[in-house]
Amino acid sequence: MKIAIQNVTKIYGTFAGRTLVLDCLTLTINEADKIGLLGRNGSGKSTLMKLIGGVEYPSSGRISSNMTISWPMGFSGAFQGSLTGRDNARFIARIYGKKIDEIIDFVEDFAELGSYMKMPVKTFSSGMRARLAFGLSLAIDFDCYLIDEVISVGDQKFQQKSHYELFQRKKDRTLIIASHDPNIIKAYCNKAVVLDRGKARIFDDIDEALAVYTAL
Amino acid sequence: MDMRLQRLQNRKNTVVNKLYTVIKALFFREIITRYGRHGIGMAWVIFEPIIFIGPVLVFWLLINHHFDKRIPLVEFLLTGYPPFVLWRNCASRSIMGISANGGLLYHRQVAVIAIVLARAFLEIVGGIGSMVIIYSFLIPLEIVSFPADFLLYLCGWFYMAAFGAVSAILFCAMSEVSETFEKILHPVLYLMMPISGAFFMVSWLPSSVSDYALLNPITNGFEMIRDGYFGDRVQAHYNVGYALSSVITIACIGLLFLNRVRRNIRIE
Repeated sequence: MKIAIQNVTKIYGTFAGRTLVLDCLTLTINEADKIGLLGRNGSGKSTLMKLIGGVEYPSSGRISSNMTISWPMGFSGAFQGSLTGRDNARFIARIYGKKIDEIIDFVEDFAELGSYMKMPVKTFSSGMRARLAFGLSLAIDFDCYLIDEVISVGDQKFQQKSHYELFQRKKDRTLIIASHDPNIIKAYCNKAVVLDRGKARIFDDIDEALAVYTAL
Repeated sequence: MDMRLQRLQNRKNTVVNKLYTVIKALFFREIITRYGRHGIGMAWVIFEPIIFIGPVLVFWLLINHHFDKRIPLVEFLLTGYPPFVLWRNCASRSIMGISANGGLLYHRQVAVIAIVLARAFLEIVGGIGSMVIIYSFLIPLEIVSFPADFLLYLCGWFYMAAFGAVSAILFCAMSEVSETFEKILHPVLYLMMPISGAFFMVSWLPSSVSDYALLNPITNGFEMIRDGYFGDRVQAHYNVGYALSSVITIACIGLLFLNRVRRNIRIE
């Protein structure tokens, strides 16, 4: 199983004109890769995540994959603010064709949101939202997880639980983690991709990638 | 060859199944976001159109202006205003319906068409459900009669529902394509009320105008409903072929635009 990104270009039309975010980017992601995505603000990390996650489409080029891929877990999107945590979970379980009770049980146990699950998601802090997203996507069980900046959410106990789920129980899964924090990339990843001016470079050596990233 | 055909068939089935699953999930989600879990909750789907239609009905009855002496006013209004409300709700709820629900597109199996259709189905279920309630009170009280040709009457309603759904696709796509369109669409909805045929029959119009009136697909729908309801009591004009082909054409144009919108949409 792999994800093949071939000659992907993404252009956004904005009021200020057209912005080229990704420029003919080619990248292959293999099964069980743990990839750290590095790049400065605005270098296209989130855009690339959205394209891989099927949230947005490339302007040209192709992304093909035979893995099931999670939605990009970040601080925004994916939930309806006026719905409760439980109703959001119910909806997501339905669209992914999972048993609603099983998903809710897992999320309630994992995310430890307690009575907040019965409150509208708009009342959640961003950390709580990320915990809900983490819990849900772990419950749905994807081949590949897209994590946009939210890996370090929650208290220490929650982080330990997430770590156990992602790196022990699901260690054969593919991870793509976008982060500015070198420690996180070092701790979680075995490969790194540096995004710069619309192009991507893949490194098998994390330290080398971090050196390139720091020099940008 | 057979194998390939089989595979294609299987793929088609899974696509249809997935779309069905997603539309169903969106449908229930929409009910909860709109009406909540408190009070009568889900029943609002049906009561909301009744609240819409009831006062208008009472208003016209108080004025007691008869459009045509041979047709009771209540019956005439019930074959015009409710189907119009159904269409208008389908269309107006779809305007900017994707931008308002951008978060849903974080889940790749939520197709934009599913978002639009789920909302339209909710309006259709509410619109038709409210009619069932209204008639099941008014028919036993002998305020209105049972449709002369029930099947034709039902076909008319289904046509209006289909026209509502495809209008929703087109209106949604147009509003997302350009802000100018979005501004124009609301006046279009208002303008449709007097010219749609909700409150007149084509046979009442001078012959110079009546042909043009039938160019509007929705007018054919009202005529169909009234043909089914009143039977020989009215003279109805409509062209089923034209009505159906305009639904298909609108659906195709709408889907084409919607696909373009999906490719270029930017989600926060």
